[in-house]
Amino acid sequence: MNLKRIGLRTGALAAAVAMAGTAQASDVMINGFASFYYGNVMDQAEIPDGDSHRGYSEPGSFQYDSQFGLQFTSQIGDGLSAIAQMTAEGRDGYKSHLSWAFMKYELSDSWTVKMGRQRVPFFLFSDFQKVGYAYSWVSPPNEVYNLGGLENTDGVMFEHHTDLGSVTSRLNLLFGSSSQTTNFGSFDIDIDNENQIGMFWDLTYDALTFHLTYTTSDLTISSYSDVGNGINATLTGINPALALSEDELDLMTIDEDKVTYLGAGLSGDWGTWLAAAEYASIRIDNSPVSGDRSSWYVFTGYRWDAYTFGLTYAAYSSPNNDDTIDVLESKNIEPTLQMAAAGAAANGDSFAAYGISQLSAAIPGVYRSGEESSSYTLSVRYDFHPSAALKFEYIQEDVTLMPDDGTGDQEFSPALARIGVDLVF
Amino acid sequence: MNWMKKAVITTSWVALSIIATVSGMASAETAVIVNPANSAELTADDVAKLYLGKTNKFPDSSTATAYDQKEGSALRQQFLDAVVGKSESQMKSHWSRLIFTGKGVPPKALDSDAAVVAEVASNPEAIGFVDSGAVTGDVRVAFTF
Repeated sequence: MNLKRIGLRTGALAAAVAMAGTAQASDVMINGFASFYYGNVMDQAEIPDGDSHRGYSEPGSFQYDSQFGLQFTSQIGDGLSAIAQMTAEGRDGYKSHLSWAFMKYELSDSWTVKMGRQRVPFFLFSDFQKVGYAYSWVSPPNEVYNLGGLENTDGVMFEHHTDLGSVTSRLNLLFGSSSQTTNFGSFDIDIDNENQIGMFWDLTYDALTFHLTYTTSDLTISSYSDVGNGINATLTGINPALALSEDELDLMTIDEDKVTYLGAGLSGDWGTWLAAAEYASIRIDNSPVSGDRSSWYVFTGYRWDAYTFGLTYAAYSSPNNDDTIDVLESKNIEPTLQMAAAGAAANGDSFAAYGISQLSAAIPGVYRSGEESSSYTLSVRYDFHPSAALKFEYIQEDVTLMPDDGTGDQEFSPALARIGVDLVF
Repeated sequence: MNWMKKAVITTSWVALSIIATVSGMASAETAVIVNPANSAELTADDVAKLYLGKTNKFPDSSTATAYDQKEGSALRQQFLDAVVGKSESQMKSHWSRLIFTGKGVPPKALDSDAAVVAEVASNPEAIGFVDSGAVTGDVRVAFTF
C-alpha cells in the first residue's frame, strides 16, 4: 500500500523532472529584425505607370520598405528544431503574418530535412532578403529579386552538406507548392504554384560563394485567366465563330502553365572589397507574359571604417509574347471589344458595356506590358551601432515600355532615393 | 607637510596605475582554450570555422560548442579581428544571415573570462577565448595570440 504510493509519487516526480528537462532543452530563442525607410521618387512625371515606382511616389512615404520581423527558434534536441517567423510589412498595412513555420531535422551528419512553410533560396540573398542588416543595399536588386509573391513555399526541402577539401557544398532539393492571394492596389490576385521541384546548389570556397538554381512548377494566376476567359466569353457571345481556339486561349491565360526558373550567382567578400553578380531567367510556357524574362546585376562594394560604399548595375528584360500579340491582332480583339462595348451602351445595357470596357482597359496591362529596364544604384551603409545600420541609396533607372500596339515605345527615367535604418536584435 | 604627503600619495597612485596599465598591456594576450580532455590540435582557421558556424565539430570529428564573450569588449574585438577576420558588425551581419534562415544559432556569450574558463573546464565539448591571465590549470590552451 505504502510502497505503491511511493512508487506512484516517484513516477510523478520522474515525469515532472523529465518535463522540466524538456522545457529546459527546448528554450525558445527569439531574434528580431526591423527596417524603417523613407523613400521619395524625384520626379512623378518619370514614373512609368504614373502611380508609383518601386513602391514610392512623390511626395515620399515611409511604408514600402519598413517592416518588423520576429523569429522563434526552438532547438528541441537530438537534431530536431522548430522555427517560426512572423513579419509585418509597411507595404501591407503592417498586417502580421506567419511567413515561415517549419521543423528541421538532422537525418545524418550530411543530410537535413526541413518541412513546412519556408523561403525558396532562388538567389544568393533570397534566404535573408527581408533582413536588411545582413547586406549593404536597402534591398537586393529589384530586377532579379522581385518574384511577385513566389518567395515562400510550403513543402519539404532536403539539404545535403559536404566538405570537398576546402570547398563546402550545400545542395538543396525542394518539393512544394504555394497558394496565396496578393493584393495589387484595388484588386486581389490568386497565385497558385503547384508541383514545384527545385534544385539549389551552393559552393563556398574561402571568400567566394557560387549559387545555382533550377526550379519548375505549374503556375496559375487568376487575373490572367479572368481576363482571357472574359475576352473569350465576350467574343463567343458576339459570334460563336469568333471563339478562341484552345491554343489561343492558352496564350491568353496563365492556367497551370509550366514555369522554369534558372539562376546563377557568384559573390565574394574579401573584407575591404566585396562583389556579387547574378543572372536569372524565368520562362512561363504558353503565357501572355514573360515568354522569356531575364535579369541580371553586378555589384561591387568597398568598406572604409564603419562605411560600406556600393555601386550596382542591374538590367531587366520582359518582352511581350509575340504569339499572344498575334492572337490579339489576328482576331482583331481590341477593336471588337470596343465596338461591343459601344454597341451594348447604345442598347442601354450599361452592365454589359461596363464589363466589356473593363476587359478592354485590362488588355494593355495584361498582354502588352513588355518592358526593358536598367538601373544604377549608389548605396552607402554606415554601421553606427553594433546592431544597427543607417543606409542611403539612390537608384537612377531607365525604363522602356513596349506595348507593341503601333504607338511606339515609351521611355521613362525615374530616380528614387531611400534613407533609413536596419536593425537586428 | 600635509600637502607634500598628499602629493606623494597621489604620485604613487599615478605610478601604480601606470605600472598596472603597462603590465596589463604586457599580459594582454588572448588564449583560445578547450577542455583538458580535448586533445585536438587547432589552428586559427579551425577556430574561425567554429565561430562562423561553418562547422560544429573539432578536426577530430568530436562535437564542439563555441562560447563567445560579450559584445563590445576589447578582447572580443581582438579575437574577431585576429582569428575570425571580421569586425563586430561584420560578424553580426554574418550571423544574422544564418539565424534568420534557421541555419544556425550563434555561440552563446558568457559574462566574463571566469565564466568562460568555468564552462570550458566542465564541458568537454566547449571552446572559448579569454585573457591569458585568466587561464587556470582546469583548461588547456590551444594557442595564444
